[in-house]
Amino acid sequence: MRRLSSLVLALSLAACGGAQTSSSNASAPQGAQAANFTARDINGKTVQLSDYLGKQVILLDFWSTFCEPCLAEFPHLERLYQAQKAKGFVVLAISMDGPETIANVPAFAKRNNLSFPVVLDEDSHVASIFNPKKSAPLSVLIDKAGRVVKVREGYNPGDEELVAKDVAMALDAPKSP
Amino acid sequence: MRRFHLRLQASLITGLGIVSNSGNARAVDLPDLGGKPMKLDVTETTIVAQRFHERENENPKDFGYFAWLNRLNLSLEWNSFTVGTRLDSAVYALRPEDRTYATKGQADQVRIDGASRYRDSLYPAKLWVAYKRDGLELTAGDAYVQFGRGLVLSMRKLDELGVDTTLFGGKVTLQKDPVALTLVAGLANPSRVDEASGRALFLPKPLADDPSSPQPVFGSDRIVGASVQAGRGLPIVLSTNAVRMTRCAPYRYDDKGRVIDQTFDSPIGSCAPADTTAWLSTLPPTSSMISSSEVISASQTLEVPSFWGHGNLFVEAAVQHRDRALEPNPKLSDGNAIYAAFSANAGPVTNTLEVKSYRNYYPLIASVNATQASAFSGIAYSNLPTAEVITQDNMYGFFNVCVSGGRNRTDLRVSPSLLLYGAVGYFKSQSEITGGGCDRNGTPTNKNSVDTDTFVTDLLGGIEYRFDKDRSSLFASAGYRNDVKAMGDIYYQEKSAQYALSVFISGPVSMEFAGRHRIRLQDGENVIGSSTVGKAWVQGEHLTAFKLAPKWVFSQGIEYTTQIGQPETYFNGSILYKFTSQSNLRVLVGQQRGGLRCVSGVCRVFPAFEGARAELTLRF
Repeated sequence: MRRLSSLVLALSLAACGGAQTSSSNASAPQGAQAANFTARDINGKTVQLSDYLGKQVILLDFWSTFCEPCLAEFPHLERLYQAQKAKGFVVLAISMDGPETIANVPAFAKRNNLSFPVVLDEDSHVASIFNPKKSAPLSVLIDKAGRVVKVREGYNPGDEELVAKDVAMALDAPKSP
Repeated sequence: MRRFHLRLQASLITGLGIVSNSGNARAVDLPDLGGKPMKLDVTETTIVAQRFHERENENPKDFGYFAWLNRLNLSLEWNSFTVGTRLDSAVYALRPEDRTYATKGQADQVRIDGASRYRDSLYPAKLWVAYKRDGLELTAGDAYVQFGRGLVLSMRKLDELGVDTTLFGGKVTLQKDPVALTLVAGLANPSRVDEASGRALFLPKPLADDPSSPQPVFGSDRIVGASVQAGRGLPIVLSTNAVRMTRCAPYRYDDKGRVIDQTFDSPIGSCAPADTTAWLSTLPPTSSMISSSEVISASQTLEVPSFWGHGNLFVEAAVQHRDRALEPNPKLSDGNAIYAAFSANAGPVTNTLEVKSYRNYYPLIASVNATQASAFSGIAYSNLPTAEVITQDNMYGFFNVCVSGGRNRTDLRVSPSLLLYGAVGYFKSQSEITGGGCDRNGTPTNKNSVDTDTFVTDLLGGIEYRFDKDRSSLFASAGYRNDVKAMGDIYYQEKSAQYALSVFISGPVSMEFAGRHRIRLQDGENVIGSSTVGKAWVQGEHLTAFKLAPKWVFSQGIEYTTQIGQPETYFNGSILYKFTSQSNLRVLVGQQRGGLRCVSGVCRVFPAFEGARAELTLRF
């Protein structure tokens, strides 16, 4: 027990120290790339994060069909994608719908005119990597070097401007090793 | 996991205090190892709650106590490897058993209830090592897994219900289009502590006056499965899935029927026939599924992901075989199911049709003693699509075990800012009412099926309207559900309305008004005096929120019900403060109504809440 508690404490300390280090060098973060995943999109195509990693700025958007804030955010994400995709920006919308609602996802994407890839995560596999709490919406911004630079939970009107700023900064940042 | 169930010590408090001082919004980059970068992701959730006293007709055992629950997710990535864990802990104080009671009978009742409740604990709820490279994925430890649409296997997280079930063992995925193969084997591993009720799946505390105690409340469920998928990336995708679940005893039993609780004695339980029989005999025989020591399920899916961009089709057919020790008639020990979903779109119209026909087909219900740990009775390792709306909480009994029907939803995009939709569902269930059921051919098992068959018509119409440059929106719908018996008597009826109006005011300021209101009528519910006929009742909730993006949300909620025997109104207020984009503190003070809550076809009863609750989420 004592050993287990010490481990918790040690990891907590390590986490704090590391966080401070990375914040001091925000424009050129160092470190590991985001973990890769493989999933299928609503058209049956295999999507791998590594197809985009290190090449484009990626926004992973975790959502589900029954999440109203997610629905409210999508028009802004679509506009952002249209405005920035030529600069190397892509949105991967990760649907966390399970067996109960997954049938609604393709029609949802169609009626909301989502032009970016919509990825299915029926078994919570992708969420377990980036969103273990399964919050929705939750967005993970990955820079051109493949590193996670921002995580944003929830959506309220006005947040879309902050997301747009984050994306613009990530697009403008130099691709450091 | 029970071997790791340990009393929490004060040092964790120090650890948590240090974690909560961090406010940065990024994964932690650790020093390189072998020339490769290493990264640590941390998601920390801590919940502190103090329940106040119960109100009239509420259960005093659900109130008055203090709880501190903590979930620390750690994920360390290096090269192609990931090592992760989730450490869960719980500390309780002011528990019902810590109080004094007027009579010994009252005290005994509380003590018995407390044997599997309000248990201080610290344990690794999840633990895994994963290796990923070039289409190969190996996981040792905990993994989520689902085959097809979940008819044969679905182990995932349903946060809204406090359910988080993984398979603890091995998972291998090989994927190279157009083929994929997944193999899994291991023990079912649900989260052991239920935040809402304080109930735990650990071995209960022994009771001095019961020599056979403690008796476990959760078994050792073993699952082996395989899924082969062919045609990935092609116009037609096929997959074949098979799963075998074996129920074993979580402990060995001695000749007096007591469990042998020693650390190295059968650490993952015992499948010896005598132990399994002893364990299964303690489970309430709520269905033939829970009494079956072995269940084999298999399914075949066919998928057309895209009809030239104008639709898609998914069909899954499954068969299930439960062991015949209890029910030798194969018509009753076997079941089958077929589910299909077809979506189509043309211009401004999208349409989704779902149909299902299940005959004596059960979800893989976990081996949980539903009498002692009812909060966990909804845990299952497969999930049959219901074709109902996700929040549908009026499917009673084993509604989906013997059911046929479907639901169609049509959406019309009138303009970029306006969407109208309507849905119609119709279902016949032979298993909603106690005593009903069917065999594998759909033939009723009850000779008087006219008393147990139910027929459901479900209607829904709604609107999605956006304005103010999409910064404001109205999502609203109205529904009607009519569930009648064969002779036309109402079994359940509901009229409902729900809305979410979000209004952008200026700059960072917006308001939100959301609610759901229902008129409900259920056979035998809400009866007055000696009458056996139920009376309709009204219940609902409304939330008003004032938002200051991106940091603050202030909200006030009211819930109400006219159901006899329950408090009429519930008031609460909450504040959400986001101190970074990904870390926040949410405080709620007030009351919340209890009752049945359903998500994704899984339902559970939540106790009412009255008190103060703070939830801190930190990610870095």
